[in-house]
Amino acid sequence: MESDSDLIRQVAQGEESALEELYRRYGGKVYALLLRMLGGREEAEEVLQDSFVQLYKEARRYDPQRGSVSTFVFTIARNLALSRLRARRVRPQKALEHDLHDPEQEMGLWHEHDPTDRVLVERALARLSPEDRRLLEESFYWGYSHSELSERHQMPLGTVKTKLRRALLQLREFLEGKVREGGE
Amino acid sequence: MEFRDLLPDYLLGQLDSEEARRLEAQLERSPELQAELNSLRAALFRLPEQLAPITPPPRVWSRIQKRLRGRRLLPWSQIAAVAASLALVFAGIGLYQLQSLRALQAEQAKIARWLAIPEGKWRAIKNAQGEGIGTMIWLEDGSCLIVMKDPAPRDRVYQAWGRKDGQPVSLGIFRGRVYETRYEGFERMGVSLEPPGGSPQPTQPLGSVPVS
Repeated sequence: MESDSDLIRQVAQGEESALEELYRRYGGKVYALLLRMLGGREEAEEVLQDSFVQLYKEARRYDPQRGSVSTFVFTIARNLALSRLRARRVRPQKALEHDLHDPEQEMGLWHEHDPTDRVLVERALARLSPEDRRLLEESFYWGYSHSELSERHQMPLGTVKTKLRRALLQLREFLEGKVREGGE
Repeated sequence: MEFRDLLPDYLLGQLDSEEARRLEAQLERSPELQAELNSLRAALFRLPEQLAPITPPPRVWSRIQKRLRGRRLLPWSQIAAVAASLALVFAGIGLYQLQSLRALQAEQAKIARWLAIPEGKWRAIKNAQGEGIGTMIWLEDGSCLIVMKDPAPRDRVYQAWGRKDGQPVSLGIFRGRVYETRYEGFERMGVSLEPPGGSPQPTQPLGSVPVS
């Protein structure tokens, strides 16, 4: 199986089949991210399209020194979604629940070969304090600023800043810790 | 506060533009700081992995394909017209040689890809005598393609330059006729002829075009 890096190099040379393979690997994950960020299916579909068209145009800018292909793909999608959120100035109030088995929604569980990563991330997040986790997720998924978070949670600005930084540093530590526990 | 402490805020887009600019300048200077940023970014962007993937409707990929083809595959008649126009740009200044273009398959493929982008804009690169020595095609996303009339002489290389605040900034060297780079942030883009390995300043400027 070709690596993500090989595929993105081919995309940079205009290979549509390589983009299709990246879409097959990441389309379901990016769609889940966009549904979480934007709430609405129609808008999530639009941004998913925009994300992979932009990936096609921007593939030559991918720098493996700066991160994995998945980080590159998620970054493109998140930036596009944040632009939409900022334009409409209203964030989803909560993650919408989708009936994954409703054919009307044309959705369904992505065929997930290996849920290990998802479980590891969920476990690492579960080790953060609930408050730190909420701040980190609201900042990441919905782009709330420090001052917006301070207002939403009636928390001093300095406290929000401290908690957010701590949350990310701890998330990294817990994720790395999981790797060590796994003996890798 | 140390720069390192600002990295989480930077990744989450919480810094104002001045703070971000200062941090970015420091990141350019410090590989350790850049490595720390990359490490934190890798952790942050694992967050979406907590979400169970959801199959997008098949129409999404169909629409992506349609948009890619609209971007890449203009009708052949249009591509031929565009190619003919480009030929005229060169032919009109007496320097275009179709044979040499055909000989360079990889370059041709790259040129064709750029020609098929509808929003591409072109400008002839001329020397001090007003003779065309190449063409620059640029897109609104900041990328551009330099197409030179001839490859660099055997013992020399071309070097691409951007001019910012009156100062030349090297954008890399190339031996063939085609070079992809970026123009954003520059007032002019130019090409010079240099010894192998390039030069810190242009020693034999060939021509330039305004881009701002």
